[in-house]
Amino acid sequence: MAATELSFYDRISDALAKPEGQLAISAGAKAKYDNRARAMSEFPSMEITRDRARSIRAHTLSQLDKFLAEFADNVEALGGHIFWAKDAQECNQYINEIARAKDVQLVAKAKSMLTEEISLNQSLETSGIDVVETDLGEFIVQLSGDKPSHIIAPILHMTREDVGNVFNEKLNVPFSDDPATLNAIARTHMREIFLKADMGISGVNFGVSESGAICLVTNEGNGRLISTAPRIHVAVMGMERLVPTLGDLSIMLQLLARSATGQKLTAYSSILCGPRRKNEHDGPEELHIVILDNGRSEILGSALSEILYCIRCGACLNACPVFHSIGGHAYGSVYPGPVGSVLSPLLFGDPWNPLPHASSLCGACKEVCPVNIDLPGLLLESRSQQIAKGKSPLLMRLSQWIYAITSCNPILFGLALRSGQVVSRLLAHDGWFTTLPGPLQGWSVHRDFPALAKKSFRQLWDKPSQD
Amino acid sequence: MTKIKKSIVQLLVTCMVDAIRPQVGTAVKTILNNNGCEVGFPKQQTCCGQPAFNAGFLKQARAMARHTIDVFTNTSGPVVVPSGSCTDMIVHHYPELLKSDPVYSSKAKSLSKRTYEFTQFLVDKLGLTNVGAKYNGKATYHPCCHGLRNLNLVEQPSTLLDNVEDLEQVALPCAEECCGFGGLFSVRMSEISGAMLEKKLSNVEESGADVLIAGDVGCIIHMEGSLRRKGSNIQVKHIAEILNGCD
Amino acid sequence: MKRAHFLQKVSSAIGNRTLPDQDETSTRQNTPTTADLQTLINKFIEEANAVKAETHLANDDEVAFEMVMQLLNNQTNNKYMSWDDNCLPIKNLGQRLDSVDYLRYQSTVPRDTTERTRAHIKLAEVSVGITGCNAALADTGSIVLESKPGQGRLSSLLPAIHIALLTTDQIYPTMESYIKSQPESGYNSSNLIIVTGPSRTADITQTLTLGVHGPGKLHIIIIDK
Ligand code: SF4
Repeated sequence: MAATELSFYDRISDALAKPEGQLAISAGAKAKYDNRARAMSEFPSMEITRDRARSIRAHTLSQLDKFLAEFADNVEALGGHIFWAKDAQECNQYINEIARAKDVQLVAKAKSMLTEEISLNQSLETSGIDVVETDLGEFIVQLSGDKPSHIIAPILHMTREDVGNVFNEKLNVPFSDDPATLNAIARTHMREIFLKADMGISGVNFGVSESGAICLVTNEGNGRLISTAPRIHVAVMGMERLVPTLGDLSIMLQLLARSATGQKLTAYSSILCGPRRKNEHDGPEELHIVILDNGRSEILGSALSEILYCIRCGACLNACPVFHSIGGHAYGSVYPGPVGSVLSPLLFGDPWNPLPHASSLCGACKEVCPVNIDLPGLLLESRSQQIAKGKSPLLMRLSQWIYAITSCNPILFGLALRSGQVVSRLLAHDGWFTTLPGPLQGWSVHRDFPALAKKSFRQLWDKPSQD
Repeated sequence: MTKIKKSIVQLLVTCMVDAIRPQVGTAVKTILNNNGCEVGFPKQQTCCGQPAFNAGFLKQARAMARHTIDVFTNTSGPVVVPSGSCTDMIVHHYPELLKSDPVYSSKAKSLSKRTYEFTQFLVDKLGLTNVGAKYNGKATYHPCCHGLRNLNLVEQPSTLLDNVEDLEQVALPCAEECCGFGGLFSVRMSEISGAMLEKKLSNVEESGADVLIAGDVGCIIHMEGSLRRKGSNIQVKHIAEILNGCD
Repeated sequence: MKRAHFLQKVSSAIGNRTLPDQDETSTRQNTPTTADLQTLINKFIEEANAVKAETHLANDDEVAFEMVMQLLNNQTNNKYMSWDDNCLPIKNLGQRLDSVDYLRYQSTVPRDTTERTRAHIKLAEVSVGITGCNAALADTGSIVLESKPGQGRLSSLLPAIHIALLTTDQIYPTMESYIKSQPESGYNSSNLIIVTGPSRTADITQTLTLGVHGPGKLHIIIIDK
């Protein structure tokens, strides 16, 4: 993933300067948040299930090598192909090679954040292959040359007029802002793609190691179509996406649906076991599963490994007040929100280092995460790793030291309080500062800062009469 | 019902209360005194180290944690803190921060076990539901995030506020959404923090309250600083100030 | 990358760290729900309707057949595709529809590339797909379909209307209970499909719209056996 031209701070200002977009985002995220809350409250054994889901994830990752080997053996026994990809380049190259060898002209794609992570579309397009996103939201993103702003709802940032304009302009149809009409247009347009595509490409929601099955969930049915109609199905799976058994899968599917959209189950959960078999009527002739590392093994070996428990439900985005305020694009990553703030610097490197700092640590994300990931804890861990590597401004380091030395010495602390009181007396008006100097001025852009009290609590304690 | 009678409690007043809003500390002390507690205030206390910890400066945070532990290890009785987030720091993060420190890991655990947030202490330890306060106003309560999510402070403040005489309470829309303070976050990511603050305050205005009550002075000065800038008449009060009211 | 090398990297990463909660394999289980058949049927209908599937109760094959006929009659053309007769709970359904001039499209897709596309395009003319079910899940209102000889995937996928024939003895309380009693379902078929309501999207401003790429109408005929 290429670093974006604008800095994170510029993107934040940009996002905040577009109130309609922000309104669409916070309204959409809020609706999803409420749906999740309702679906979870109706779930009789929600906390038990959440615990189980977390322990399934922990158990899987603690023996991931074993489960990956078992999974791969089973896929191969079913007649599928496994390719082990170290990084984006190896993965894209492999898929390009299959496409070339099998004379693939047209690819129909189901929504997959992983393929966005590795820019697979661009790679295939460079080789002259047509790639069509078939998820309605992703299709609109692709038509308009935009980027998805949410891992579950790619066009959360768009109003219906926006979508109407895109269709009007790019598909040459009369303008309409009626979702049902727009949907019908998309259905007709996409039909042909499904029927003619040579290759279907998807991500993998879960791989089941005991059977070698992969599970794709979609509400629209495009996941089923791209894994049925084209003669080749390529599924790209992050190496952490396994569950040991079908029973484990059933727990994950229920939590995923409830957390992502508030449904009890997604409309279609498609569990695929190898390619089309003998005497079957349909299904792909070839199935290729690419197991992708792309930095995940390093994460697995780090203090941030818990982020690999993530099942990409998007609930933490919907709960996050920062996401509500700035939307997905400002993060400059395919993975926005709390999960993205932890993942992006790990996957994409230093330019994403400001992301973990963009959190008030309010903990709303942790509260909704179906696998109970301690997201605030991981954000803190990520911050402290940056500090430990010396990746913080000198002024910040200096002031943190001064502050620590002062706070460890009650005499210095008392002196600091007194000098603060003097400054307050001289510069504050009516008990408040309206501007703050230097790096602190960010505060005073939006709010006044209180002057220090004339007498601190410790002074009052000594001489309560002066109260 | 009172479990600890005429016992000594230690006040960890927090650096913000100490420097900016000492009347909160005074209120806490008065309420505790009125309910049979002798209050100690170890003068060596400074800051719990949360700002360093939240910014990722663990060395500095550890130094401050050790200092705070030293200050309170020499005292007896429960430690009461008028702040959900400082309590969370001591109760949850001190033991974690110092878990491989041979000297301090056990000290951190024992301080963690005797530390309580103010309303938590009143309700859960002293068994109080009514502190005999009276306050005339139309109030709404903002549950500060760390207290709400990490200490589960829900029942305690609401029980206490429900029993304040003359206090009319109105619901705060989206009450559980963060006000955007987050310590250094409000400086470093001031634009985002400002946008979150705007949302919070428009909800406060929508509530129709003339007093906004919260349990953390950090969040209080954050919201108050903006209300003041806007010229709003809404007052922002720490819950201890309300509970100490007897007008 | 070589498999061995890949897995080596993974195992050394695991060796480096202990993951939070890794030893804690949760033993707590949901209490299994036991319910009598009528409660199960009612729950299934309630949940299926909640996700906008239409349910129809039939006391026997004959009534069910009439219902299928009626749903087909509402169509402008007489084309349909379906699972093979021996995989459907209504006896000789295909034959009987034949005799009243309904045209069943051959749903086996050729393996050859050009032929395959041609077959797809032809199948796209069909507006109704008829399938049986391999199970149903009461607590989510889902039906479960296995793809195998006689049971193609496209019948429940390409047409705008999907008619699913379910018998009451196929209803399980939950997905867990189904998997427990049919563990081989996860291996036996190349595609195990759990369908919960018709195809849908809420991508455009959270407005629910039915029938995106899959069927926009799902009729479930529940036959009492
Ligand atoms: S971190 Fe948790 S809440 Fe966020 S997307 Fe992943 S699983 Fe969902």
